[in-house]
Amino acid sequence: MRIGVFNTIALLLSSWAIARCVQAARAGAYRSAMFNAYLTISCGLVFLVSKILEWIKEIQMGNTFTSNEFFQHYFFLTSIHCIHVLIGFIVLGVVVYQLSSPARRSQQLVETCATYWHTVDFLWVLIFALHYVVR
Amino acid sequence: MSTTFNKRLLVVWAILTSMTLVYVWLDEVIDHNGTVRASTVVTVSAIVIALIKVRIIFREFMEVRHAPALLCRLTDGWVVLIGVCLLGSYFVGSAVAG
Repeated sequence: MRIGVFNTIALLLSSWAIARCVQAARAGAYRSAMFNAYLTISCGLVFLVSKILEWIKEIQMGNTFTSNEFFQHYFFLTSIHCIHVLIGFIVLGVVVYQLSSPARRSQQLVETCATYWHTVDFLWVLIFALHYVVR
Repeated sequence: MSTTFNKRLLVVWAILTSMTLVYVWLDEVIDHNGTVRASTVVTVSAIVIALIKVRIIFREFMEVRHAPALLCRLTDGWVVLIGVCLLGSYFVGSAVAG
């Protein structure tokens, strides 16, 4: 539960940062936008590392994919979500690439990438509630 | 303008984080001595809080509140649909299980 709360706050922080990135890019403040894009990636990495540590802890406690139906759903949903987080890093790489050169800087592309990252965030909000809180 | 907007984003993040911390409080209130107990109140609260958080993310972080009315209605419809599916599954499942 506690690690799930930590995961959620890290991902919410990343969503806040990418929203700031979009706002900064729209205002032409590209240094700030770049900073917020890197902050988003950092929070995403914190989420990913804590998720891997959580999996290791569960497996060490004997809770694996085949233990019971709950852990089957848990590992299936959290790993599918993590794959989308990994895709999100590529998407955030596109944001950094776009912001790094004045020749590119497509606001539409930055906002599309941010929308993807927010989607990863709100899906986690639902997964967290369903797997860590509901009983 | 930019500062006002960023302050708004910070407030939104603080609200979302506070709503996440409500889960910890719910967990503490319902469970005793680390024993997880079934609870309709916790289940329904968890789902409702999650759906409110999703709507806030749609409206504020994804800027849907500035989008055309159709997109606002579509995202709200999605939230309602997911809510009906989740709560419906829970209550129907509980009734079938007796």
